[in-house]
Order: sequence, then C-alpha cells, then structure tokens
Amino acid sequence: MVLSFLACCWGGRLTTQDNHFVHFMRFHQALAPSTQYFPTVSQTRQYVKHHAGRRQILVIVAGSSVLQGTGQTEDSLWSTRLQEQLGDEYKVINLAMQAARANEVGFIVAESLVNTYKKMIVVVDVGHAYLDGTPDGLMYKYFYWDAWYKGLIQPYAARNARLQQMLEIPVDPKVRASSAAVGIPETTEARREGWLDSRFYFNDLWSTLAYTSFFTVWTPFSTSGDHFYQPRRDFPDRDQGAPPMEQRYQASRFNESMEGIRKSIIQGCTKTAEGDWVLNEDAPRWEDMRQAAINCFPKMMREHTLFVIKDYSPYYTSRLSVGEQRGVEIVQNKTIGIVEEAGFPTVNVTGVFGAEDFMDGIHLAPSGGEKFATALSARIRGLAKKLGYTP
Amino acid sequence: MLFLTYWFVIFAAFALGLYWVAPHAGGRRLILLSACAVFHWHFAGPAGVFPIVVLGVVTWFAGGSRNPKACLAGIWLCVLALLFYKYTTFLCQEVLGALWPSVSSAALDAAQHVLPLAPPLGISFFVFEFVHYLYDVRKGREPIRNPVDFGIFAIFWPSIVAGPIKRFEQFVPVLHHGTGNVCEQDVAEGLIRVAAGLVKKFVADNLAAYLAFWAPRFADIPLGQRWWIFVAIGLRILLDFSGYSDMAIGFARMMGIRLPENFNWPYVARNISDFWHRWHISLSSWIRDYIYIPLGGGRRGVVRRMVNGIIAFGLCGLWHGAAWNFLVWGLYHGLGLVIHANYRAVVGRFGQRSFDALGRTKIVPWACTMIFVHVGWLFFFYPVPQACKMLKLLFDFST
Repeated sequence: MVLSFLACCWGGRLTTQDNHFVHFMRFHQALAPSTQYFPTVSQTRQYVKHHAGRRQILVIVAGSSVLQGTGQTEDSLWSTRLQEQLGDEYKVINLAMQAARANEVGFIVAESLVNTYKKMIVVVDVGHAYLDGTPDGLMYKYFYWDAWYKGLIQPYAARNARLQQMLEIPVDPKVRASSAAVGIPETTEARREGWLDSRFYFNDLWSTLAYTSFFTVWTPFSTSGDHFYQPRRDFPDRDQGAPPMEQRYQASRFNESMEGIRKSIIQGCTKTAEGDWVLNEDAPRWEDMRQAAINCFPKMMREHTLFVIKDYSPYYTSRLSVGEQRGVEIVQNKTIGIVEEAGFPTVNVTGVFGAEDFMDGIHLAPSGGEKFATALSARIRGLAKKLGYTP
Repeated sequence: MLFLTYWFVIFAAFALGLYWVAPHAGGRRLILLSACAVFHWHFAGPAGVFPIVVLGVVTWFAGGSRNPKACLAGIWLCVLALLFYKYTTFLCQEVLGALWPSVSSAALDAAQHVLPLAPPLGISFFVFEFVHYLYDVRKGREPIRNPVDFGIFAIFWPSIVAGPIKRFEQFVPVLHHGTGNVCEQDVAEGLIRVAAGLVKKFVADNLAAYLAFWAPRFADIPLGQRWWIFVAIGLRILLDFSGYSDMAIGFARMMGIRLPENFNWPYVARNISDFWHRWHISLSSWIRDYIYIPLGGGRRGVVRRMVNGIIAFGLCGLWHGAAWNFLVWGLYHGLGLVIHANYRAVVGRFGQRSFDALGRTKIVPWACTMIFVHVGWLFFFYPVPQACKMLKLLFDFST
C-alpha cells in the first residue's frame, strides 16, 4: 500500500515534466474547474514551453471569459486572429479562464515563466472601476498555491503581507457560507491543498489522467452526447459562438445588464444636483483598485502586463442617458489612469464596436473579436518595441 | 464531508502518528482526547463547541452522581437542546405557522437572533449518546468514572459527525483494549476499510450530482430513465451513508478501537423488519431501546404496540431532518413495520398460506421490500407533493 502510494506520487511528479495538452486553443468548458477539471500550473507551463520558442515574443492572454473568447467558436477565436496579425515573431497563447480575475491562472503561469521567457507580454482585462484585490485570486486559489508551494512564483512582499492580513481576519460564518454556496474556495484549504500537492503531486497525476485516460466525476456537462468517463482531451470546444442577432440581448436580462453598468458608474462617480455624473476621487473603489494593483501584481510583471479595458455593448450604452454615458467614460478613463499609475501599460478599446459585435453586454461575437484583435495587435507591437523586444 | 478536507488529511496524519508512537495506553488516550478536541473545535467552531461542552459536563456530573432525578434532568436538558438547535425553525415556521401565524413570525425572528447559522456539529449523535448514557446509568449501570474516557466517548472524532451511535458499555472496554493493543494488522485493516468507504463516497457523490441534475427533469425523461433514477436514489444513500460509516469504523480501527457495524447488506433484506436490522443498525437499536421500549414496546397489547412503533419511527424520521417529508418517511416505515408484524392476523389462513408460498420464492419478498424501501426514499429526499408526483410518473406508461 505504501509502495503504491509512493509510486503514484512519483508518477504525479513525472507528469509535470511533459506537455499533455493536444490541440489546445483555450480553457474551454471541458477543460475548466466548472466541470470538475482542474488544470495545474505545471501542466499549463509545459504546454507553453512546448509551443513557444524562446526567441519568440510570448503573448499570454490571461483574465476572464471576455479574453477567453466566450461567444466565439474555436475557429473564430479572437486570440487566433491576434496571432495571425502579429505573425510568427510572436506566440499567442490563450490561458484566460471563465470568471478568472486579472491576477489568476494565466497571469500566474506568466509570472512563473518570466525568467524563462525574456520577451513576454501578458494581456489581462480590467472591469470598469473593478480590480479584484484578493492576492491569491478569487475562484482559482488552488492555482496560485500550486505555483507557490512548488516554488514556481517568487515571494513578493506586498502580496505576502496582504495575504497574511487577510488570513488574520476572522471569517464571518455567514460570509463563509455564502462564499461556499457560490463556489468560492477558502484560502486556508487552498493553501493546504497546494502544500500537500507540492509533496505528493496528486493533482498533477489526477489532472493528467483525467485529460489523457479517464475521468471519474459525473457532471451535467457530460450529458450532451459524450460519456463522463471519457478523457477530457476527447471533449471538443462546445462554444457555439454568438447566436443570431435576434436572439441576443434578451429582454429578460435587459434590466440586470443596465443595472450592472449603472452600478459601475455609481461606484466611481457622484451625481451633481443638475443630474450630471462627475468623478468622485474619494470613492473607496479607486483606493481598492490602487491597493489591488500594488498587492496582486509583482513589480517585475507590471511593465509587460497589458491591461485592456473596452466598451460595454452599444446596445446597452446607447440606452443610457447622456449623463450616464459620460459617467461610463469617466469611469473608464479613471480605471485606466489608476492602472497606469501603478506602472502597467494599458489599451482602451473603445469606439470601434457596434451592437452586432457583442454576444451580450460584455462578451464579443466573432466580428467584435476580429476588431479587438486588430486594436490589440497594434498596441502589442508598440509595447514590444518600447520594451526592446523588437527594433 | 469533513474527512475529505485537506485540513483533515493533515490532522489525521499527525493525530494517528502521535497516537501510534505514544509509549503506553494512558498516553494514547490523552493524545486521542486532545485530537478529538482539536477536531471538534476546528469543524464546530466556538458556537458548536459550547453546547457539547455544557451538555457533556452536565451529563458527566449527573451520571456520576447516579441520582435518578439528576439523570432524568440531564436527559431532558439534552433533548431540549436538540429541539432548540435543530427544530426551532421548523417548529416556528411549520407548526406554529399553521396554528398561529402572527406568533410564528415573531418567534422565528427572536429565534434567529439566538440560533447559530447551522446546528452544532454532530448534535443529533452526541445528544443520543448522552441520553443513552444517562438512561442506562439511571437504570443501574456503572457510570464512566474516568473523565478522559468520558471525554473520548463524548467527542470521539471518527464517529461524532455521522455515527455509528456508540454505547458506552461497549465503547469503553474496546477503547481500553485498543489503546493498549494497536498493531499493524489493525492499521492495515482500518486503512482498507477507509479506502473502501472513500470509493463508496466517490460513487455516491457522482450519483448525487446525477440525481441533482435529472430529478427536477423527472417528468421530461423516458420511463426507463425514471426507474433508473428510482434505483439510483436508493443506491446513493446506501453508498453515501455506509461509506461514511466505513471511514469512521476504519479510522477507529487504525487506532485499535472497534466500533460496531452500522450496515449489514440492507438491500438483501426480505422484509422490512430484516431491513431495519441491517440499515443504520446503531440508530434502529437506539430507537428500539430508548423510545420504543420506554413507551411500552409490545408489552401493552397489539394496538399499543402498533402506536408505539409508529411513534418511534416517526421520531426516527424527524431525527434525520427538521422537515415534514422526514416525518412522513418515518411514519411510512413505522406503518410498514406494523403491517409486517400484524398482517398474518388479518389475512386469514388462506392469506397466510399464500404469503408463505410467495415467501418461499425469496425473490418476491425481496422485490416487495426493495420497492417499499425505495418508495420511502422518495419521501426522504423530496417534499411530499414532489415525491407523490414522482411515484405517479413511475407508472406513467405513456412516456
């Protein structure tokens, strides 16, 4: 029994040495924790090292479902268009994950490779007046601690201090219960998992077997034709892309979407007596963002982490009042300003999209992805030149 | 599932390691008690530790005094604590709400200021063990004199969360024997038992996910799949519960301590009485000894026996959860047991011969028992109207 256990540990360790992903374009639904598949840092790093030459300028796309390309099929994926536009001098790898924050998953992989790839640009997205300040991430804490305990990312004082501070705050039982209900893990359990895995490699073993050989967890995802026990590499990317225009922008979601936009305005602006929205410099949200930028992103990563902010769908913004539209613009500009203050390059992709370029309020349809890729490629070239990657 | 947290893995490695290397039995018991306290504190939190400490202290002193009135008072305190923590919301909302709506909402508001978010960890189990302890001491059994032994009995970490429900007269001797004689064989067999339980839990969790997805779509799926879900519900609860028991028994065995078996192939039972001798054995025997028999058992005539049986199983149902469907499930099984115990008197000689003939086939009584049990699981898991609807859909041959 002991020998079997040790053999499994050794097997798990061996799986961290090779690339196992085949035909990987992005972390689609079958390759995501939402369907009980947990890619590890080692697996993802091996994929990058296998596909990106050291002389290429590595472009890692991190961040959320917006950059993951929800709303685009595999064939129409915006990051593929980006690769085509940048050419072979660059290697674009999409490691964005649904619901991931800017400092999660793809960013962690990038951080772990920053000494291996001297020419690297990380692309992340930032919300309007929102940058999450949880140093180990929100939805994918296991990924951070996996990297931490395997020594794949370096200590960063501000991040460690903030983590320690958060660990010392007693968690309200109601907050704990409500976080658990929406799948947000606890840092302490994620840490223990990372610590144990750094010694026994069970996540790496399990994740590799789940991808290459067999799966043992039933999920509703596997009801659509495939069998749950099939290895995850057999599951195609099932994102069917944006539906026809008449099926987007459902009336049932209109109010919720508009309220979401208005909430971002309220968080960063105040309303004057005349009904105009003006920047509120003292809004707590701005200070939260400043702290998040300092605490969650090591200094060495900042100059080559490109923050992207883009429009909401004009379908919604055109239905805002003139004052609210101005408020959106104020919030966008201030968000960019705060991120730039912290030393990040930014790109503000606004004014290029129509309603037909979106699948919903924030996710781009293929046509929008194309335009997004064009805007980003110019900025990436400019950044690469500034960083000295190109003459 | 507490045994599947990373905290527990690290805890078990340290606690068992220290236990095994302790040089003598007394030291092992101290280490075990400390481990139990750490386990309970971590998972129950301060709000969860308070009631077990208070009830444990009261039980210890009441039992130690051997004063029948003190023991009875301790029993009442434990029962009231269980009612308060587990059933206040149900009583306020469902019972008071039906009788006195205006008082119900005020009572619920007041209760929610005092009640913790969830009932204290293991309250259904440790209250039953304290009640059993005080009841038996009151009847003349020798109480546990050693506070360490009592502490371990009260918060024994393998079984505090989901059983088996222990009897102190059996537990203390095996505790002493185990702490003095743990060997490699115990560790190996315990580990195998834990592994078996883990496999059962994984299968059960998969079934649970499958059922959570398909059960709400019961009306929209083919008849064959509905019957599969009907079977899967029973399979899920058996694997889930017996898996947890296996892990509890396995961990205890790794310390040389043998807990009683809690499941004995319940789905081979050929009648409902046999089923309850195989399913959650520690609970059914507790219900028999501390509810059914004190109510009079079968000693006061047939009618009283039937009533006592139905009451005992109604309470057994409610013990599982504070909701009407659990009560219905318990009463359903109580009625089943009553019918099983008395049908022969009603059906006459011809009926008795017919049933005897069917009984000799083995498959017929087994199938009837399984159908009865699995229908019961519909009421256990789903609100009564939904369970009835699902039952009806099982015989909807138009799909």
